[in-house]
Formats: sequence, C-alpha cells, structure tokens
Amino acid sequence: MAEICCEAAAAAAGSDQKGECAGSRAARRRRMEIRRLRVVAEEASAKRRRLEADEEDAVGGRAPRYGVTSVCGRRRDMEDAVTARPEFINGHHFFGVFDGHGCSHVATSCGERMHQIVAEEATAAAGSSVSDETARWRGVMEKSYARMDAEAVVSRETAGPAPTCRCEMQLPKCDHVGSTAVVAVVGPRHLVVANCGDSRAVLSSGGATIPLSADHKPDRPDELERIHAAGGRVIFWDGARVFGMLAMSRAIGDSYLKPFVISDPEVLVVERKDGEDEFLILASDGLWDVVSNEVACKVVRTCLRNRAPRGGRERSSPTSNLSPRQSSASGGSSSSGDEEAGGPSGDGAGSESDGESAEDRACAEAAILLTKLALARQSADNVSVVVINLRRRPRS
Amino acid sequence: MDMARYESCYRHWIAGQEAGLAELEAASANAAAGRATDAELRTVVERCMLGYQDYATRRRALSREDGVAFFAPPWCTAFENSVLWLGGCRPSLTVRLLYNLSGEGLEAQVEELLGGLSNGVIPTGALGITSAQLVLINDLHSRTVHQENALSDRLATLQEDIADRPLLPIVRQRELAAAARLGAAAAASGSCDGAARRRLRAARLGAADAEVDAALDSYKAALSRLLVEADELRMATARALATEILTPRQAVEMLAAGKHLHLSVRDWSRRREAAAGAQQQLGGQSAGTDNTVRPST
Repeated sequence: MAEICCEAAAAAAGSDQKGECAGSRAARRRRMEIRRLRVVAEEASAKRRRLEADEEDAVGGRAPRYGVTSVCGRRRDMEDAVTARPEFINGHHFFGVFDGHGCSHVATSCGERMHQIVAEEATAAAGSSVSDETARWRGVMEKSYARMDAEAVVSRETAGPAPTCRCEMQLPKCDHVGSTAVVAVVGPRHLVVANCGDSRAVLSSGGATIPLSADHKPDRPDELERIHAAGGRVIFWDGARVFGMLAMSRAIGDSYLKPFVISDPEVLVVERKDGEDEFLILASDGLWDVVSNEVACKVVRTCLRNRAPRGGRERSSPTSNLSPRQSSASGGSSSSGDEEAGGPSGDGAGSESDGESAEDRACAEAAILLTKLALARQSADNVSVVVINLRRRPRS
Repeated sequence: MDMARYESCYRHWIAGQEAGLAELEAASANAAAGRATDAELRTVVERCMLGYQDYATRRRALSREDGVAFFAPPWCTAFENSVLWLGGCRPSLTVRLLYNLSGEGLEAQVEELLGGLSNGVIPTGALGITSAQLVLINDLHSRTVHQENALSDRLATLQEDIADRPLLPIVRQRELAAAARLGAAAAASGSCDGAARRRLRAARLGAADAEVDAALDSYKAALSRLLVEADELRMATARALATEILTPRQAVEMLAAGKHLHLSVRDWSRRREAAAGAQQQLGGQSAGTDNTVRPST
C-alpha cells in the first residue's frame, strides 16, 4: 500500500510539470492532491520503519523461557485464569494472571480475550504519532483494561454460561462477579506491567526484589481517598472491604460497586537491563498471602541457578549420571523418572538440547515449587503462578 | 428390619480398616528401610483397594433393602455422622489430605535449598510429590468436586421432593378427609368432641397404607441409588490417586494416613460421647479399640 501511495505521488508530480499551462484552479487542485498523498506516504513510511525496528530487535532474541502453574488448592471452585502468549505481537510476549471472585466467568473471559485486546490496541498505537514508549504503552493498557471491563459486562448477554459458571450469568448475581488482572508484556527493550486488583508482579534484577505492582487494597491511603471522594465507604469486615463486601479497590467487572471499584490499571514501563534482569513472577494472592516477595524470588533464583551445574555435569561424562539420580532418589522414584526424561547425555546434539530443555523446565519447576510451598503454608485460595526467565538466550 | 446385619457389615469394615492400617504401616517401614520392592508395595495397595471395593459391594446389597440406614447410621457417633457425605467420607477430602501430606517436610527442604545445602535438588516434601503429579492431582480434584456437586444437587432435589408429589398430595388429602369426618362427627354429637379428634388421629397413625408405603419406598430407592453412585465416586477417586497418580510408596503413605485419620476420629468421638453419657448404640462384645471406650457396667 505504501508503494502504491508513493507511485501515485510520483505520477501526480510528473503530471504537474506537464500541466504548467493549465488553469490556476486545476493547478491548485493538483498541488493539494500531491500534498495529501505525500502526507499519507510519509505516515505509512514512519509506521513501516517503527515495525521494522521492532522486528530487528525481535530477531536478536527469542521467546523467553517461562513456567505456568494454576491449582484449585484448598477451595472447591477454580476461579483463577492464566494466560501465556509468546510472540502475541512481533517481538512481544504476553503473560497474565486473573483471580476471579464471586464466580469464574469474568476471569475466564480475561484469560481468553485480554491478550487479543492488548494486541489490537498495541497494533493501533504503533501507527500513532506518540514517540514516547512509556506513554504509548500506558495508553495501550488503559484502553485495553477499559475494553476488557466493558466486555466483562457484555459477556453475560452474548455468551452462554460456562460449565463451571456458578452464577449462570443471571442478574443480579453476575454483577457481583469480577477479577483481578495483572498483565506483563515482555518486549525487546521494555517490560510493561499493568495491574488492577491484588494479584502481583515482582521482578528480580541484579539480586534485588522489585515489586512492579502495588496491591489495590481499599485501605491503601490513596485508594481510600479516591473511594471516599466518589461517595463510597470502606468497612472493616475480616479486612478492609469496599462497602464491607469486596476486599480490593480495583477490579475488572463488579458492576454493582462502580464507580467506587474501578478497572483503571496502574501501568509501569521499565527498560530492560541485560546482565541484571533475572526473572519476573506474576501470581495471585493465593501465593502472595503466604509467601513474601523476597522468599519467592530466592526460591526462583535458586531453581534457575541450580539447573546449570547439573546440565554441565550431565554433559561432562556418563558416570556423572549416577549422581543426579542418586541425589534425587531421596525425593521419590517418580522424581528420578523426571530427571531421566530430561534427555540423552554424551551426545553432542543431545547435550545442547538437553541443556536447553533443562533450562526451560527450571521455570516450570520454580512455578510449581512456589505453588507447593503456598499449599504447605496453608494457603486457602486458588494458587496461580507464572515465572518468566528474562535472561536473553544467546544467538544461535 | 434386621439392623444387626448392617451393624455387622460396619464392624467388618472397621476390623478391615485396622488390619489394613497395620499392614500399610509395616509396608511403609519396610519401604523406609529399603526392604520392599515396588511390586510388593503395589500388592499391598491393591489389597487395600480390594477391601474398599468389598465394603462398597456389601453396602450395595444391603442398601437395596434399606438405603436410608447408611445416611444416618445408628451404629456411628453423632460426630462421625456429622462429617458423612451421602453415607461415607467426602471424596474430595482425600485430595485435601494429600495436599497436607505433600506439604510435610517441604519448608525444611526449601530452607536447605535457599541455604545452598541441598546440592540443587528441587524440594518435593517428604512424600516426594513431583511437578507432574501435582498437575494430575489438581485435575482429579476438579473432576471429583464437579461430580460431588452433581450428586449433592440430586440429593437436594430428592429432599425437596418430600414437599411435592407423591407425598404431599396424600398428606393434604388425608388432612382434608379427616377434617370433614371430624366435622361430621361433631355435628352428629352436637358439640366439638376432643375424644373424636383423638380417635381420628390414632386411626391415621395406626393405618397400614399402601399408598404411603409406596411413596416412602420410592424415596428410599432413590437414596439407595445415590449411595451406590457416591460409593463409586469414593472408589474412583481413591483408586485414581493410589494406582494412577502416586507411586506405590506414596500410595502406601496416603492410604495409611487416611485409615489412621478415620480410626482416630472414630475412637476420639466415641470416647467423648461415652464420657458425656451418650447412649452407646453398639452392644455386645466387640473386637479392637471399641472395648477400650465402652463404658463399664
């Protein structure tokens, strides 16, 4: 399309020269057309350059390694949803944790649609004139959350009830249904985290634990002030609750508590730091209620770090195979089976793939270990965890 | 109704639980000492499963006669009955038990991991539940809860049906007829006669009535079918965990813990109810721990 525009502009310019003796009105009309076509061509060219830049960065990296786990735990109903969409747009990867309350259908909708909405908004924003990356992503996320919130209301009219949907999407019960939404977009140069509710994103970088979201609790001073200004009340009933009912101050859905409970996300855009950024954890409060940010990061860091030496030992000599199996035997025979499934050793190509698959598995192991730790510490909620390794793979 | 046969079935079950626990504990000790092969442990697990199946089979036969007895069994304590779900333990309780067992020892192992003392082994807790197993357990949990809810809904419908046909129309019809007869009797005697009312009530209570019996039998039959399906779900959940998801060693530990929990709660609740002077439903000689809690007379 850009080429067609350029050709049209060139043709128009050519015809302009031949028409010097034409009437002044015709000449003015042609000059205006030429000017308009030139603007369109310039816009298309700028958009193409921006996308090409993104693609160039994408070539230099591959999808990050990540692990996902989501268990019902000590509750009878599963109301969490988790989404991981590597390369959902060029060079960008989407991760989201959605912890529903009241019923599961809002969280389920978020799990199915949020990444599509963000992709649409990001693609639309790529063509805009906004040059500031931070402002652009903030706009993308704010629009996306607003659209997702609107869809959460509409979905009760358009979609049939899911098999596990307890409220059966009947008013007024479904107006009491909502979900948290913590979303991370991992791009070539930036991490974008958007949060609404009390799920959480935590970054580990240079050995430091850095929260990338702040829980939206009704008694957070600025949230309390906003709710009061809107005419709402926060009542302490087994914790701070909006009108004594909802234990978070922002959520997707929950129509009956608007405008006190809003769906506006807090958005953070941080530049990636190669050599320092280690991993990102997204999880629901089923984890964070019983495991601190620091302990979670220590566990993940140790899991990711301990994968490398074992891989090395496996590659060095066949006899070293005995050591991992013997040490894992204390953990049970199935655990030993897991190790054996890691892949062949001693073979050059096998060693390479074995090392890579071991690293891929480390994220899954870390996510599940955090889940088991939450269960062991008597977490009473669904537990959902995403662990994203931010260390870039070396170029192949 | 010969309740002794039902009670005998239960005693046989308890004796089996106690013998099974002893066998599982011996197998667990052998496994810990490295003296038991997986095949041997699997045999012990299978014997335990067969014990459960045998109990379910006996109950199925007895419940055809009177399924209601299993929903509030007179041979159990009130506490035991308070935790029954459709005549037995709730299947999802098994998953909760397993989550707690799998958490044992995990904190200490995580501490070792973070302290660099574990040679990089990923902690799995004393039971050694792996990542893959946790995923399978979670999936089984969801399916089991879903099926539990379906059976619970059917029980709710059945219970609400008591206020519907066929039973309610009979009740309403009888009340109307009795009122009419009472009115006629009062008119005949020229006054409201308490004696006439009492005679009518006695007649109502004493009458053998095919229509009423049919209605009650229909309810009992439906309860009986629910009991059978609930037992099947209990069996399916336990079998899936013990023979499909867990290793033989893990299955032995879980089954032993389950039996231990059942027998402990039973013994403790019996002791408390005996101490409180609660009437003991079980009479005569009994084997095992029941002797120790029976009040002396």
